[in-house]
Formats: sequence, structure tokens, C-alpha cells
Amino acid sequence: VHVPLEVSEPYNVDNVNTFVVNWLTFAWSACAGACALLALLHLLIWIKQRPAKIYLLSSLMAFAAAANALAELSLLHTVSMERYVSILKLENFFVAVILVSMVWFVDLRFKVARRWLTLIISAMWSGALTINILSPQSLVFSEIDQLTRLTTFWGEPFTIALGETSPWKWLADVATVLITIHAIDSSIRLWRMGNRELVLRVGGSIVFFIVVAGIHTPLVDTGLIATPYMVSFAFLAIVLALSYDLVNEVIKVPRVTRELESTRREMDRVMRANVLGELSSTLAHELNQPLTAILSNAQAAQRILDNNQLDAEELSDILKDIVHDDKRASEIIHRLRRLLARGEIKRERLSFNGAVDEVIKLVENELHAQQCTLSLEKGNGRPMIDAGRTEIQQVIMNLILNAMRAMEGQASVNSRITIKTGSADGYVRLAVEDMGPGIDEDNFDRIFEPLFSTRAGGLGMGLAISRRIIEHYGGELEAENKQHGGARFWFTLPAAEDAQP
Amino acid sequence: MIEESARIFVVDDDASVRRALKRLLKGMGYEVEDYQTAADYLAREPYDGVGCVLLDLQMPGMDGVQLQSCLMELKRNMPIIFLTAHGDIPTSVTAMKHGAVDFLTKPVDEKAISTAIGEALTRCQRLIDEQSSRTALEAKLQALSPREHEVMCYVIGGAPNKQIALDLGISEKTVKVHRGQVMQKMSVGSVAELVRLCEAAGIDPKDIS
Repeated sequence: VHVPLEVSEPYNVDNVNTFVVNWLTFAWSACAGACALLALLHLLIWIKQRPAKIYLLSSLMAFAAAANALAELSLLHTVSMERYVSILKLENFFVAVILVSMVWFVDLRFKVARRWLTLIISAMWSGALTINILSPQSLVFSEIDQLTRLTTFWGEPFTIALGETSPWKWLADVATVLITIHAIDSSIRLWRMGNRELVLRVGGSIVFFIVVAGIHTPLVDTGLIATPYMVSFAFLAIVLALSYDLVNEVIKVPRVTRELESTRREMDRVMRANVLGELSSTLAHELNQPLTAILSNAQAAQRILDNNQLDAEELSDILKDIVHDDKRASEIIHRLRRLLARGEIKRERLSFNGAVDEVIKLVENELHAQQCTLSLEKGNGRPMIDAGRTEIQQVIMNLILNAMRAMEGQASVNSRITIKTGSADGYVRLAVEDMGPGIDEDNFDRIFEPLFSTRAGGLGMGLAISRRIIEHYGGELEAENKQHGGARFWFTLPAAEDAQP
Repeated sequence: MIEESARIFVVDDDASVRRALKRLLKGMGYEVEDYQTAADYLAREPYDGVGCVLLDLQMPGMDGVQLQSCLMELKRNMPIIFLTAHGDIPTSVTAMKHGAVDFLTKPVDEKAISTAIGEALTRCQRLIDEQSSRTALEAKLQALSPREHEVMCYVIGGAPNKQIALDLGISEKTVKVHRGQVMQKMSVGSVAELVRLCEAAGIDPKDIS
């Protein structure tokens, strides 16, 4: 029932008294408010998590949805033709922003969308917006015949425009169809890849509400049904769906962090067990030496007793030696346990040089066996660090073993590892230098990548984990080739703050 | 018992192990010398009495197997018993091929040491005996005059005196005198005994042409 507006009965929006607060106003305002609130939320998350551009997109989309709701609300109450057209143009702009950012959201979130489709849709909407600005009567109408005041079934008045559909309207319509296809296509692809939850949550809601809005709007445009535009509510629903998705992501973070942490610990243990395997022959030797001495001493003592040649002094010496060797064996086991300690890694105040010494004791024999000499150049002072002992020692051991392997098969005069420690400017530093062939230029960028190894049978985890450990404690681990051959791996760690220099 | 005067050379980089083994071996009644490195042992002048080497396989610098081949080159063939904490099979095979007496795993029981040392010393005694009998034989051969040596070669070839005299262009009587000298100097009672000695010394009999 179209009732033409009397031009003589101006409906002045600027006059607050005539701006009746009714259900329509309430609903659209609430919609705008909700969108704006969610937009702020997404924006905050983006600010806190800069690399996650996707939240900037969803924020942009929600802001545009809020603006769109306000524009729609204004349209409902506008009676001035001029004003209607300018608001309509503005609304078209917001719709474009919403749709384009939504398409990119799907593209980035699902990661399976066809990029060319995303680009085409963006281009079409850019074109449509240009037309929207240039054409006298917006993208929708080439000519607005009249503004009609209608009433809702509960009796609240609102305005809709009737007129000639713009010849360019198809551009927007095709774009909308493409958006639907884009969303459906991406959803299907993601569904096949098994991420059904995300498809239902995001893809499903986008498709559903685009279709609803896409059917409803043309019906209103062409005057077939007489209701206000309700695009805003479709967008609100989509924004809500995206927010729900966002909340899920946020909730997931601590769980993922926990899982990552336990994976990392597991990897650390694997690496340490690996190191242990490599050291096993050395360790057998190291442990067997005191055991050999103990056994021989004990049997020598038995002989002395059996022969009744009670030499108290000799027996006392023997017992002293046995005690000494027993302590020596348990010291080796103790060092090993420290290196392989399971469970929580405690951050503790420890002597940097002391930690280095312990590692050297553990690998010394292995180096000897490989005919490799090791020289240690300690810097001045007794720097302390706050770190996990086992972790730092693991890094040092890893660097030393790497250096040793780099020189495998080289003549022993050319097989020297130099360890230099030092401290300056609140940092401690350790460098491990070898006389091997150095690092291949081609591999320079990749040596710290997980699973990269130049060694047959190498796990390729050592340097990756080492760097992660050092960075965890606020230091850095780097590699370089020395000028006269060989490689140098060095790391820094913050010195303990109140420690004596 | 030969063991009583035998001398054991312990080569191990670990002072504790050296001291303990020394005590144990002394308790078994041997003389013991200990060396920290292979080089230290090599620097010692060769020992010509009965003895053996207890050698640690894993040592910094020259390891056990390297010392073994070094001793072989120097023809110092004192029997070697290897001690190892973690002997891989290829290494032990190499060591045994090169004549090691045994390959014992640390920590090593006194029974195992005792058995291995017993075997090593027996082997060492045999080597010394062979060596001394070879030296004695060589001394005897040195004592022969060139002519006597010549006659001896004919004798062990089974030639009768007449034939020897004819071949050498001397009288049969002179041959008999030389022959008597050979039997005396080589201190043998029969030609069969002489043949055996010459065989051991690698002297070829001379055939009658």
C-alpha cells in the first residue's frame, strides 16, 4: 500500500522533536551498536597481535556494518529526496567495504579460496563504487520517482524509494552472486580438507545471510515487498559468526601454547637422548674406568687378606682409592642426570663458566676418541646467568659435537675446537670455533631450520632447538664462517642482573 | 713357574686404573711397570725377559691399536692383552689378527686377567726359547769355516764322501776331517740331526751334479 508523501508535509530529520523513538529506531541502533562494539573488539585484538591482519579485516567489516546500520536507519526516516540519495550512496559504500573485507576474510581465514575470484570481486566492487559516486542517483536507481512512506504492520512509518533501477545495478548483483559462489566454493574446499567446524561456523553463516539479504534486498528495491532494507541484520549475523570464530581462536591459544610447550619438551628430551646415544661409547669408557679400578683394588685387597700379609697401610690406601673412584663414578652419573633431567626446567642462577666446564668434562673423552683437541679461552670475571642449566648445557654440548663432526676425518693437527667465553655490556657470550670446511654459503639461511641437516642420519633439530632455547632466555645464537677457514657458532645470554661482574 | 720373574707392563691413561692394576698384579706375584701413554712405553728400552703388555684400547694420543702396530714395526713382539671399556668388533678383530693374546672388557675380573696373562707369558717364553735356539744355531753356523759349510751342504744332501771329494777336488780324507769338524761344531751325533738343524736354519742341501 504505497502512500505518496505530500511534499507540503516536510519531514524534518534535523528536528529532534519529530524523530520518534520507535521500534525501528531501536532495532537499527542496537544493531549498529552491536556491530561497533564487536568492531572495537576485533580492532583491539589486531592491535595486540599485529601480524594477524585478519582481525583488522573483520574489524573493518564490523565498523562498516555499524555505519551501514546507521545509514539504513537514516534512510528509514528520511523524506528529503536529496538527502535520501546521498545517504543511499553512502550506504552503498559501506556495503561495498563490508563485502570486500568479508571476501578477503574468507580468503585469508580459509586459506583455500581461489585468489583470482577474490580479486575479481574486489575489482567489481571498486567499479561499482566509482559508478555509485559518479551517477546522479546512486548505484541502485537511475531515477528515483518518489519516496514512499509505508507503515510496518505494527504501525510505525518508514520511507522507501521507488524508481527506475540503474542500468549498472547488475554489477552489484553479479558481484553478490560471485561472493556467494566464493563463500560456497571456499567452504566446499575446506570441508573436503576436513575443517568442517570452521566451514559450518563461518562459511555457513556467510552463505546463509548473503543469500537472505541478496534475495530480500532486490525484492524491496523493485517494490515487490514493502519492508525496510534489512541488510544490516544480515551483516550483524555475519559479524556475530566471525566473532564467535574469533572467540574460539582466542580460547584455543592457551591450549595450543600448552601443547607446543609439551611438544618442545619432548623434542628436547629426544635431542638429549640422541646426544646420549652419541656419547654412549665415551660414557661406557668413563664409567668403566673407576669401576675397573674399584674391582682391581678390591681383588688386590682380597689377595692381601688371603695371603695373611696384613699390611694395614696398603689396605688403607686401597680403601681410599676405592672411595675416590666410587665418588668419581657417581659424579659422572650425576652430571648425566643433570643433562638428562626430566620434568620442569628450572630457571636458576648459575655460573656460566661452571656450566661450560661441566659440559667439557662430559665430552672430553669423546673428543679424545675422535682425535680432536679442545682449547678453552675463558674471559675475565665469573659471570652468572639466570637460565635452565640443562638447557644451556645442551646447547653448548650440541655446538661442541657439531664442531667435532665438522672436522670428522681430518688429521688431528687440523682438528681443534676453540671455545671462547666472555662477558660484556650485560651479556655473556660463548663462541665455538672449528677448523672444518665452514658453512656452505647456500645453506647459510637454512642451518637453523628444523629438519635441515647436512649429515647423513642427522635429525636436523639440534641447531633449531638450540636457537629456540637461547632466544627463550633472551639471547641470540648465530653462525658465521671464520676468515681463515672453519665455522664459528656463538651465542649471547643476558647476564644475571645483580651479579658481580 | 716362569711367571714369578715375569714383568707386566700396564699402559693406561687413567692413574686410578693403573694404580689398582699394579696392586693386583703385584699381589699375583708379578713385577709391574706402568705407563700413562703409549709414547711413554715406546720410550722404554725393549725388555728381553718374560713379560706381557696390558694395554688400554682407548687413550688420548696414540691408542692401543696404534701402539700395537708400532711395536710390530719395531719387531718388539711382547704379547699384548687389550683392555677395553667399549670394544667394537672390528677393532677387536684387527687387534687379534695382529696377534693380541686377548681382548678383555673392563671392568675386568682377576681370573680373566690371570688366565690371559698366563697364556701371554707362555707365549712369551716360547718366543724367547725359539729366539735363543735360533741364536745358538746361528752361532754354531758362524763357527764353521767356508769349506766346512760347503761340505755340510753336501752331507745333508746325502752325498757320500767320495763324491764330495770328487766334486770339491780334495782328498776323501780331508772330507772326512771336515765332516768330523761339522758334526762337532754343530754338536750333533747323527746326520739326521744335522739335517733337521739345517732345515730350521733354512740351509739348502747341495745336490750332486
